[in-house]
Order: sequence, then structure tokens, then C-alpha cells
Amino acid sequence: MTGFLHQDVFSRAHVPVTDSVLAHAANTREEEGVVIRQGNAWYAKHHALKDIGLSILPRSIYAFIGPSGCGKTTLLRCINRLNDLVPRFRFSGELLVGGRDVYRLKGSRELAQLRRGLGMVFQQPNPLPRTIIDNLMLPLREWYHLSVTQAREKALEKLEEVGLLAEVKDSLHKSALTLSGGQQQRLCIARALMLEPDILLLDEPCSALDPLSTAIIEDLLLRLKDRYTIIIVTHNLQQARRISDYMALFYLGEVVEAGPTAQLSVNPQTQRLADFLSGAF
Amino acid sequence: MYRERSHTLTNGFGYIGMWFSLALILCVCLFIVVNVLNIGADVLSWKFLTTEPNPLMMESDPGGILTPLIGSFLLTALGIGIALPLALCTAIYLRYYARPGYFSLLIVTAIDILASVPTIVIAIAGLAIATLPQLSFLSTPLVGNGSAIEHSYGKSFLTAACAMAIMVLPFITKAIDESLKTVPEDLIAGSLALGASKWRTVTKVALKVSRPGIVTGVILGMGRILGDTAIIWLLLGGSLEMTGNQPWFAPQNWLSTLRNSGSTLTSYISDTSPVGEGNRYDVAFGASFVLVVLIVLLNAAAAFIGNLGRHKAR
Ligand SMILES: Nc1ncnc2c1ncn2[C@@H]1O[C@H](COP(=O)(O)OP(=O)(O)O)[C@@H](O)[C@H]1O
Ligand SMILES: [Mg+2]
Repeated sequence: MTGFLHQDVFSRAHVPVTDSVLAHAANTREEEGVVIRQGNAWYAKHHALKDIGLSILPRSIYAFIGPSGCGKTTLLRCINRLNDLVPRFRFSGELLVGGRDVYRLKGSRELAQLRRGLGMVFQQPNPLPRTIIDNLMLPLREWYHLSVTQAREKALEKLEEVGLLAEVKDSLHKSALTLSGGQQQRLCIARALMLEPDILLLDEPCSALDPLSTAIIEDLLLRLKDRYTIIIVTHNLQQARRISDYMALFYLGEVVEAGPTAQLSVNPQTQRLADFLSGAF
Repeated sequence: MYRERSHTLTNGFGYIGMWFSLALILCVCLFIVVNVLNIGADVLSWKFLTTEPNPLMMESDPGGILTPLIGSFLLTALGIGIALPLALCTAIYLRYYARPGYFSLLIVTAIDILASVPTIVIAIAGLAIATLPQLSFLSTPLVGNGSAIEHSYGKSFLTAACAMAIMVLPFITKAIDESLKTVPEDLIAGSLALGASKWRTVTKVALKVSRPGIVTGVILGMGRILGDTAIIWLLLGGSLEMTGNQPWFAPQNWLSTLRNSGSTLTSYISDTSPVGEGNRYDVAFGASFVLVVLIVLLNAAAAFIGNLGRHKAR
């Protein structure tokens, strides 16, 4: 398995990869992460993803970058099968999460369990129009038999984890919609963490936020990557450079180039990535 | 060069037309309100609301409107009770489960057609169905020469409620659908992404978030039932009292009351008007007053709840 990984992720490596990234790659097993082979996806007749091959290692930040409309969201929503919602969407190929092919699960129960292990954060913060604490306790109580006290304890723990507890501890019973955009997004991250997922999927989580809130969330993600595998879609190259360990450039449904961020950003192998880095599109 | 066009004349006609229309609307509205208030208020009293009407009102004390009032409430509750679950299921199916295609198109078309059918047509079709001998459990079986049930009487609170439900079904379904449309896609996706099932997501997220719109739709549906006369004429009958076993309010007679005919505020108004047998303007206006107040209150509640929802969504 590791053979495949090195082929895929480092095949374009002409310069030495930074030591820490290599050490990380050597110490992790890709079965715990996400592996995509020959991933193709269609919206009706529109071929939105073409022969995607990626290997996403656990406990690292992987950024999907590229111009809008190139398929980043589509791939992210394949991982937790949220595209099932779209009529006439189709995926072919292999998409392994923790070694299991998500498009070959049996029944809705396995799908629900897959999704429980994958936290997702959306572009627009999407708390429910309920209290802050309810937003966190609901998913937990939906899945487990727990007392309110137990659920509350867990909610406070997650609020602390995303650095929101100090700001909201006196307003836990206020509507989540009274929070600022940045706070709402951190609440959504906390909610995504409530079910103790292994993987966190973020779709342009900062694109609706101001620079300060963005910086807070970037710091948070850097702290979280010790424990979670983080996949983040962003069209902000600077953001990808600041926080990601690996990145993949998407263009018109294809992955043009993928690899360690540090390496790709100084030494792009394709003209497209070079153009993208220089801000040409 | 060119001769300038003048719009003074058309503008003038436009303004006159507008002001005339507004004045006319105001006058008509005032006339109705003043009349209803003026004549109706004279007979209004606690006693008027809480005594049963006297069937022989021509000669003596007309009594009150207790049974029509109860009849209106009963019919509204039954009609909504039948229509709401059906409307919820239909709207949820169309928005979250149906695949785009001929089948959902068929249902949507059927709803649109139903919405445009005049209530008198629903009433006559309802009567045709309700008089089938197989449906005598909804009203009273009528026995012919032999001992077999030849057909049913067809008129009862139950049959009228079914027809009312069919009448308001398209409106409530559309109100729920409109309301579900406003639920942000991201809230649904967010719930599914947490592993909640589609059904749980619809019931716990979509219905919760769209509740103000649903309640508003239901309230407007109530107003339609309260104000309808065609269905009541054909399917509830024109008697002023409850015609089931007496006393109609005793629990052991509830079923009998529901299976028999009665009155509502609207049928009471037409019965007591000069075209009816009562010819008592005063009590007809009294009942009109109560009916108008009820409908205004319902509309106010709908507006208030609609507003509440808009504030909350922010
Ligand atoms: N629900 C959908 N139905 C049909 N086509 C879609 C849908 N979502 C996305 N697409 C199409 O798929 C392509 C990729 O979209 P997307 O994955 O959202 O791009 P990105 O996230 O990179 O901006 C686009 O051409 C877009 O028009
Ligand atoms: Mg996108």
C-alpha cells in the first residue's frame, strides 16, 4: 500500500521533500486516510470529475485548490456521499475511507455510520435556528442515548476545542444566529467534531468570513490536525500555502498536480500550477 | 425635429382611476363593517353565544348561535385534521422524495386542478360519493323497501369535513411546499452530513424551520372552511340544531352527532336571512359579526406568525 502512496503523491518530486513531511508520510498508514483511484463523476451527462487519483494521509491538512467550477466541491461531497442528494449524479471508481469503499456500502445504516466518521463544514455557516448548546447536543443525542448533562459536557469540551467557550459561555441558550459569522463557523466546526469523526471535510470555510475570523479558523485547523485528517477546499492559494501539508490543483475536473505543499509551491511541475501560483487564473 | 409626446392626459386618467378604485373599495368595506357592527352588535351578548337557536324563531325568541358556532369549530377542526396530514405527506414527498418526472408532474397538476375547482363542484361530487350505500357509516343509512341499505343520507359533519379537507388540501399543500422551499439547502445537507436519516432530517430540521409558514397555511385554510357555504349546503344540511341523538354534547352521543347533520355560522346566516325560513336580519347580522371577527382574528394570527418566522430566520 505504501508503495502506491509514494508513487502517487511523490511521483513528481524532483526536489527533496521537506524532512518533516517525509517523516509524517513514513509514519502513517494510508488505510486510515482517504484514497481515490480513477474517480469519475457525472451530473447527468456533465463529466465533472475525470480520472481522479489521490491519496490523503491521516492527520494532515490536504487542500483542494483551483478555479471555481473545477470540481473541488464535487469531490469533497463524494467522500461523504452528499452528492447522493443530486438527482442523476453518478460516481465510478474507487473511493476508500479508512479502507472501505464508500460507494460500495450496504444499506443506509452503513452510510450513516460513514457520515458519522466524517465531519463536514460548509461555505456558509449553517447552524440550525436554535440555541448554541442545542446545535451541539442535537447530533449527539440523535446518535446516542445520553442524558442532557452528558451531552452538555461534551458540547462544552468541543466549544473549548474550537476556542469558542470563553466567548459564548454566558450565552449558551441564545440562538446560534446571534453569533458573528466567524463564531458561527467555529460553532459549526465544533458541531462537526461532536461525533468524534476521524476526518474533517471543509468546503471553503473562510470564504464568507473577514480576515481576522479567517486567521482564527486557520490557527484552529493547524491545532486540530494532530488528531484529525483535514481536507479543505479553498480557492485561496495563500490559505493553502499557510496551512496545508499537501495540496492538489484541480482544473476542469482533473487533478493537474498534487503533492506536498512546500514542494509544489516552490517547484511546480506543470505550466498550469505555475500559472496558478503566479495568479494567472 | 420630433414633436414631443405628452403623457399628461393618460397620467391624469391613471390617477383618477386609482383614486376612484381606492375610494370605492373603502366605501364598500365601510358599508359592510358598519352594517354588520351596527345591526349585529345589538343582538350580541354572552347569552347569544351560549344558547342554542330556537327552530321556531319566526314566532318567538330566536335563541343564540351556540350550535352553529360549535358546528363551525367542529367542521374546521375535522377538516384541518384530515387535510393537514395529507398535505404534509404530499408536500414532503414532492420536495424531498419525488424524482423529477411524469409522476410528480401528474400530482402537481392534480393539485393545481383541485385548487381551481369551485367548492360547489367539490360539494356535489362529495354528495355523490357520500350517498353511496357503502359509506353509510359516515352519515345515516337509508333503508329502502327491503331491509337492505339503498343509499346513505350523505349529509353529516364527517362527510362535510371530508369535502372541506379536499377543498383546502391544495392550498395547504402549496403553503407547506412554499415554506419548505425556503429551508436553506445547507441545513438539510448539514443534517445529512451528520449521519441523520433523510426522514429524521425532514421531520426534525425541515419541518421545524418551516413551521411558521406551515402554521400560516393552516390558519388560512381554517379561514376558508369557516367561510364556505356551498359544501355546507349540500353536505351538512340546513337544520339549525344538531340532529343526532340528544343531548348532542354527551360523550356517548358524540359519534352520532358527527354522523348527523347540523349547522355552522354560514348556514345559520343564510337560514336566518330573508331567503331562509327565519327572516331575522338581526340575528343573521349577529352571526355575521362573530364570523367576521373570527376570520379577522385568524388572518391576524397568520400575519403575526408569518412575521415571527421572518424575524427568527434572521
Ligand atoms: N448539483 C449540480 N448539478 C449539476 N451540475 C453541478 C452541480 N454541482 C456542480 N455542478 C457542476 O459541476 C462542476 C464542478 O462544480 P463544483 O464541484 O461545485 O466546483 P468547485 O467547487 O470547484 O467550484 C461545475 O461545472 C458545476 O457546474
Ligand atoms: Mg465549490
